[in-house]
Amino acid sequence: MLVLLHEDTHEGSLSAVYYSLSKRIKPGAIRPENGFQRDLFDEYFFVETNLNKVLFLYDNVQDNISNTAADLIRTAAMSFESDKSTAIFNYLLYAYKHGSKSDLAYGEDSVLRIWQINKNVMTEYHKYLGFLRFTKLKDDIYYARAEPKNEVIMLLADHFSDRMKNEKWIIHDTRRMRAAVYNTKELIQVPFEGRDLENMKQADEGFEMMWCEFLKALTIRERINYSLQNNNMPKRYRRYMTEFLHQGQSHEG
Amino acid sequence: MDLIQKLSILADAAKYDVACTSSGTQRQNDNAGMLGSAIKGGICHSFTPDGRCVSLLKILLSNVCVYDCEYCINRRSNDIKRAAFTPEEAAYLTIEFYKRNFIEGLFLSSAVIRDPDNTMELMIRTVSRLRHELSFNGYIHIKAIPGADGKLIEKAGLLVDRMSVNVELPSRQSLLLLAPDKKPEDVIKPMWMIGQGIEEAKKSKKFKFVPAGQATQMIIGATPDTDRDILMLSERLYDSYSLKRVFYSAYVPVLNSSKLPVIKTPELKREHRLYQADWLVRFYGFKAAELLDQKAVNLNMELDPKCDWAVRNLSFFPVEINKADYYELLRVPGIGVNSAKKIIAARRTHFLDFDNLKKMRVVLKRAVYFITCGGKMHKGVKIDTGYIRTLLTHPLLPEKSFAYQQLSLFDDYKKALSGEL
Repeated sequence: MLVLLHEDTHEGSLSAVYYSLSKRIKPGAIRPENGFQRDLFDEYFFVETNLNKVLFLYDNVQDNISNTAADLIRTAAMSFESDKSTAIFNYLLYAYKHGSKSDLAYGEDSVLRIWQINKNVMTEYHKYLGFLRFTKLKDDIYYARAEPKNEVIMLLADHFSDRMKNEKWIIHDTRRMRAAVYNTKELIQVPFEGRDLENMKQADEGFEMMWCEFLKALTIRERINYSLQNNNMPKRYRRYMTEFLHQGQSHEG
Repeated sequence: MDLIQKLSILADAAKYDVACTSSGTQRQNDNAGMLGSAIKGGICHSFTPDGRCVSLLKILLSNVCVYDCEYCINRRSNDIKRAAFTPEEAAYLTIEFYKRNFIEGLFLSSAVIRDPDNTMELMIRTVSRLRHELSFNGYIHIKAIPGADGKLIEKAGLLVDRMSVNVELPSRQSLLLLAPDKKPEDVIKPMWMIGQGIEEAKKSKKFKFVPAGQATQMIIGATPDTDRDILMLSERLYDSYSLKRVFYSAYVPVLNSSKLPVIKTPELKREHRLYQADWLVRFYGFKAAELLDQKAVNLNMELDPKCDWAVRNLSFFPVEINKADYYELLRVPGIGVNSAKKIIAARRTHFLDFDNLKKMRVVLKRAVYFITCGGKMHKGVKIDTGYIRTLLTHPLLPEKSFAYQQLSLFDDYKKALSGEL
């Protein structure tokens, strides 16, 4: 069977989906190029990422299906699930046929799957909206690290470019070594290893300690319930969180 | 005293206020010079080891109080460390925490400093500094101090997202017993005023007044009030005072007093059941009187309030998934707002069977006893009060002691209970 491969980014995913739609081929699978064993009997073809084609696809989906559909495929393409591109492709085949009626057709497997993938991405995005922590660096630059499963930093960057419009900040995806960088005017995405950060560090004016102290004071001892805390704030989010970075803080059980 | 010590004292003093939500307002940061935005659903920024969400910088402006309420840790006669922020300090902390994404905004309350008007004025000065001088566009929730002048309440309402007045205790007798300095009228009056303000703002559309709505809090288990009293009061507050939320807080003994009950652990389960019932009243179209009547004045601890209602009202069921309207679906145990909406959307294009529901992740564990798909109930399920009640309350009952039903059918029930069906 034919397997289309693409760069492991959401633009890569949508480029491959666009490719199969425009060439009218139905590949056995569409998937990111890395992280799996190639099968001897399958045929592989790598699709180059093409931003113009991705933008064209968004417009086309908006015009011919719905705005919801365009949002659905954009978010799904950010997912870590290896079947996401195939799922987007299958969904679009159905949705192009049925138009905006397909938006909420949960009875259809391909529609249901795209919603499930979306939910996973949006849940992680929403958690990070709260759990992301900025540290103040020299020159009043605010710096945050995250290692999200899904590619959510540009979604996060959209949120913060509204909220922190007049601040300079960096959101660093340490899993993908990329960063969203905002200079109070423009937002860009760049490859980023974070090497120069050591020189940028400066002593926080005590606010990080105050935050830890605040959380300690808020805890009601008679109600301690670590499993509830773990459900609401899974451990994988805690790596870069201020309240877990500072030693000697008994915020965790 | 430095800022960190003050914060420690004044956050500790504020921790029994449960309402830390930042929901109810959607506001973009449209002006170039501003800091902050608000998200309709609210955002939780951390969770303390007690599992509670931390969304706002929840502090008292001061814990120096002239009152002597029996249940309150800040009562005058209690020997604790006292501290006070200046309005400038409180505003400064808010901004610095906000820029580090620690919080969604500020939740400001206070003990009564000198008198209610003076306290309210200091709180307004804090909020006004944030909004006007520091261009803060994030979420602000403040407490209205019972007994404060109406003009001050109005002034505060124009600056904040949410305001609340704590009812604290669900009946007049309880209030008189435990909070002798507060008159019940002092609580009701500001609530009524805020409610009026919200209605006016909605009508005129020219100004915003407490856009995220009004909230209140009640302490559960410190007085003999029943769940029925509590829920009926909540319902009245939602209906007549246009409240957005009533919060329930299981009483945690912080002080010794002859007027307070001696309890070992807070009534967390009861608190949880009250929240469930509260949700049913606000979003599910239930009336408090349907959930609890003169005979049953307290909520069932074994079954959740909707299940409990359902097994008492089996004549309402089964509900046909492909035909029932939104509010009929919502009455099915296990089907919530999300599932009901999904079902209604999905059946426009598809006829739904049990398999579809399962794939859509509608939780069938409880629902399976109360629904049909295409006129058929799920295999091996029948409608009978005793049978359903036993299954719902003893899901982990060992097979041997499961005497109520024939064993031949048991495998199906087990699957139904574990959600595998």
